[in-house]
Amino acid sequence: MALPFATLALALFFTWREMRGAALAGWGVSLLLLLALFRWHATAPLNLSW
Amino acid sequence: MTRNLNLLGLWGLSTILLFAFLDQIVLHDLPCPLCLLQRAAFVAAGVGFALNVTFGSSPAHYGVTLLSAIAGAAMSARQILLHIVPGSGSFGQPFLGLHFYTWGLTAFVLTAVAVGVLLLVEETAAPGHGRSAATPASRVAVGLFLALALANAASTLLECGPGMCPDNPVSYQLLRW
Repeated sequence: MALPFATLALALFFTWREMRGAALAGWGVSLLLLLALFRWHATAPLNLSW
Repeated sequence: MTRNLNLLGLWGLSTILLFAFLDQIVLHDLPCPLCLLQRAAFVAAGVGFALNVTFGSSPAHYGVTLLSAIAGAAMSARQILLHIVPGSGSFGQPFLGLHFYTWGLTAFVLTAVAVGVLLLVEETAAPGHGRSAATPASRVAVGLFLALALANAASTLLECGPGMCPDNPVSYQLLRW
């Protein structure tokens, strides 16, 4: 679950280095990863401690 | 003016992430899987503000923040709904009477509202859009936000290892010797 943070850090690094296209691409990949993880969570057996 | 408001938005999201980290370290309140997804959504929303303060405002940058805020709000809402049934308990310690996921939903909705307001008062995109508009203040804010994203990546790796997090984490998996 650390992967979305890593790709978002990469997107922010590209922003900091003023590489706009790479930053937007990094953000896009991160959002897709986040949504995939959210889907995994939503379809996993329900556990109310989550 | 909107540039400073974007900077304010970035500092606001940094404060939220910093506060969550303090809660994790000082009170040993380890984040659950949904909590981590919400943290990541806050970072994703901050990318839009960071792009705005670095390159100047653009509808695409506001779209980045808005889509991330909507995704984060969906995650917070799911966690609220999981715990809304009487007797289903809650996760973590409340802060000012509300749990973090409830504060999370509030913050995501406020972020979306802030984007709407910023788009209302935004001036037409200046020519030369895409070129650097970075200032020392923006570089410090983006640098701090980047450090927080990296710290979250490291902390999540320590807590969950390379795979999925346990449902109710009580210790850091990679620190068990």
